[in-house]
Amino acid sequence: MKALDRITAAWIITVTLVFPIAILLGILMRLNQANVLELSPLTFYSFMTAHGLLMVGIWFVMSMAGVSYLLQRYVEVRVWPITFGYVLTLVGVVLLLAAIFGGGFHTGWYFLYPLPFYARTEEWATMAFLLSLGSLGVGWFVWSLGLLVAILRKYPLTRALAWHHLVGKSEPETPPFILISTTTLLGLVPAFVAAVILLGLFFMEYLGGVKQDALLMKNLTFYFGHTLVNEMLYFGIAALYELFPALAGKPPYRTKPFVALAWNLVLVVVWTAYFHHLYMDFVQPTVLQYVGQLASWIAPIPAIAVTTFSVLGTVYRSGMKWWLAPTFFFTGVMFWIIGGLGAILDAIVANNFVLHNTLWVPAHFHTYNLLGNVLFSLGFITWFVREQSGDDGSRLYRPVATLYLLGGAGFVAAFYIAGSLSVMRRVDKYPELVASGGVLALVGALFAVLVLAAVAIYTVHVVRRCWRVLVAASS
Amino acid sequence: MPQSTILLLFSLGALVIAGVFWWVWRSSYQPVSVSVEPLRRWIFVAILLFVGAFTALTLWRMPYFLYAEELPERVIHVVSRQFAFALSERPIETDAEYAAALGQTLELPLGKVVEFRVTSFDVNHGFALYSPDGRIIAQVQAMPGYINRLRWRFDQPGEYVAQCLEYCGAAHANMQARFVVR
Repeated sequence: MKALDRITAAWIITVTLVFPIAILLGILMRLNQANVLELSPLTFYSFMTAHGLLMVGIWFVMSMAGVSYLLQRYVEVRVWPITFGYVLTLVGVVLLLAAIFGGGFHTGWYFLYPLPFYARTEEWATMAFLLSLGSLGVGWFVWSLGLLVAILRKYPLTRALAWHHLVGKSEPETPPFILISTTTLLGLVPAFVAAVILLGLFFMEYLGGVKQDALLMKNLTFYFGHTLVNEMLYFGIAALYELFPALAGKPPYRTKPFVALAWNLVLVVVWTAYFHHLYMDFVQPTVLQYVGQLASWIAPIPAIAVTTFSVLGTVYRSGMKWWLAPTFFFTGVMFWIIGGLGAILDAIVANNFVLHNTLWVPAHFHTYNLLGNVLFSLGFITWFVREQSGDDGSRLYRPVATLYLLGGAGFVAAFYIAGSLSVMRRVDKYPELVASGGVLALVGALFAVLVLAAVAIYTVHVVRRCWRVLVAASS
Repeated sequence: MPQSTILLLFSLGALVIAGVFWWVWRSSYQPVSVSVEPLRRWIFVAILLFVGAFTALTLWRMPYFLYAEELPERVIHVVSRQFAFALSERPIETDAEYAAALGQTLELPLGKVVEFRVTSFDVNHGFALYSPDGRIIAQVQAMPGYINRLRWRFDQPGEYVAQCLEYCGAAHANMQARFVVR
């Protein structure tokens, strides 16, 4: 479908152009922490806010764009919700950048209540920021509903969730891609609801002066933020399930009872794991802290037992032809699991007691995002470009894969070591207390430059070819 | 678990994972028709056992119940506000009491249980205790409208730093307080 090719190409161009800019913001932050640069605190925290929101935003929409494109293999996909999502995303990003760089909004991605009301920010910037999130939220919600409706028109809900597979029936088969996409889209619905309530409460205070409860606001913030990022990963996994076996020359994956069980379990567990963000809030009911640790530890079981085993089993003695797309998927799974290990160690309450808000946290989330989820989306993008242009980017394979993976691994290693040395996150300069932070920031920045080089080469390759898709589809 | 042990466990785990992926990747250059499906059940059981054992070992070590059966030797009231902590043995409820408590250097007893009652007058802050050798030994959040109680027993004499660990605004990095344990 030409219209779907076109909107997918538009997403890819937008995302791959913003990605190096967001990386550059991150490098500037690390160089400032290393005392190589001297940014003002407001500039640093503005960069931090923009970096976090841009990275989560672009890779969320890219993983969803990948799923939207691949969904046409099974159901009729309507393009207007995707286009609607694209337009509102652009509106949201413009408002966001205006709030951050025009109005000095610098509260971090999570704008933890009540910080926006205390930060030294232009008053209009807080409103612009909230409207920006509203625009992004509405756009993404309508887009997700569009995909969910498209699935449910063909697959009744119980079939889309593969419940008949749970009881041992093998027909009619629910493809794993439909199962994972459905659980992910359903998982997003309460996250969007939480975001609406959160924004509503912010507006009540902003416009009506009604004070809110800080613990409730924190729960809503992390429920929404954690779930969104988790579901973004699962969209990437859906694309992997769909594309990876074919890249290895193997038949498609099938939905077996344990696959159905795993993804239905994920649907429930993902809603409760976010409690680990509030471990250090001792006033949170203690039973929820137990739920948080249990859910955080149960969540990776389906992922490891099903996805990793399937991917390793697919590659083992397969004679696979390695090029960028399968390499991205394969190494993405590896780093996803490694990052997951870092995360579940942090999800033990007793460990979180000494790791919370240290650089151990960006260490693990950069591992399963930069080196996991982003690679899943890059795998899709590389495959899409080959489908559209016939060019598999073989000239880029060695330089891009080597620079990206080596740079990424070194970059996150600096975070892990710093986290274990109690170096805190989200500070513009390290106090004397953690003197090692500066040296490790420089090491991290240098490795991140390698990632930036890989991304720059890759972006030129992708944008040129996707631009042709956009123009050809338009004419 | 000390941070160095966590880093060691993580590094070993990451090496094992990377090693398995590297071995499988190498095997892809020697194609042969083989099914690894029978292994799946055993790997699932192994993961379940690992997760179960680790959860059983760690779930009971919650910081919420530290020294719950003991009476604290001292109670320290902590109020956080952009960008300083006020620590006092008396409750701090007003701006004047906050201002009066700022800059006091407390002396806390070695080997005795101390209870910190931590709150905030404005935004969320973090109250992390750094030992004299610069490692986090305990922490709790400071949330407006709530009092978080953290009990701790200091086993090492020296100067400790309380550092804000929740991003709270432009001067967050400098938000510290110091006290002495002897």
